[in-house]
Amino acid sequence: MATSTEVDQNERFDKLIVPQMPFLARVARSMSHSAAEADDLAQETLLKAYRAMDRFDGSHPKAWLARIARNTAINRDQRNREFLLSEDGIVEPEEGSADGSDPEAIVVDADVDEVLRRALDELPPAFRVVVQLVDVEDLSYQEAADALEIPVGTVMSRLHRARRRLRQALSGTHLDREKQS
Amino acid sequence: MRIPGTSAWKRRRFGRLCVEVAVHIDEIVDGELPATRKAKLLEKHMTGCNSCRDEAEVVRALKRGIARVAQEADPEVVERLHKLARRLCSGESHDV
Repeated sequence: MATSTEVDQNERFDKLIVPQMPFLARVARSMSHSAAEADDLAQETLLKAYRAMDRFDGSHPKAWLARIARNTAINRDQRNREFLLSEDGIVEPEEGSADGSDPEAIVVDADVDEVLRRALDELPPAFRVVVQLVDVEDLSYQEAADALEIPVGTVMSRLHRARRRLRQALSGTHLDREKQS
Repeated sequence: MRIPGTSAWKRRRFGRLCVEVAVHIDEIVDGELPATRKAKLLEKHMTGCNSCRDEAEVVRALKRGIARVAQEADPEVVERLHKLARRLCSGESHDV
């Protein structure tokens, strides 16, 4: 029979963590190299979160889950450690190269979503997860920094470089279409 | 020497502010630029500068696009997480 403490923990888990399942699935995917890896990471993170509920103060469940996922990912294998901690991995666009600076091209083109999805997939996880947390999950820079245990300046720099890379990818598509027509 | 208030002074100052906006464009669009005198200056500049407004709109459009394509969670993964949560809460945590 469950003790009153266990019942209380289960209620807190149900109230604070269970609603975040879609968030956990998305963030795990952004930290992983494949869908299968993301599935494992999400499950392991949830299990750890459940076991650590007594140490969770209840504030910022998204940031808390993201931190557990991040620590789980970098502890799983060396490859994740390198990718999640590395500052490398993005080739900076050359000065003066096209950077997707036409807002209409970004919002109107029908196949942009597919290009963007592919470009996001190609970002190193260290960068992709910052974009995910800030642009999709609406975390502040400070919350993202806390979740990933990196300085705010690193969040800003990764976000800036990732966005530049995404803009470049979108711009390439736009230019290709112009060349064909 | 440039004399404050002349058109040459205004052009030069305007150009410098464009550079400042470019440096801080992510923070501006994300609402993360601390509310300082400089932030107010850049905000004021952007109301009168088409180029800076366009740059901000590009970043906003990119954010909207990212949110659109990355908002979807894999429903199978979510379902498996819900199943695991139910098992954990029903006391099966020691078997996992």
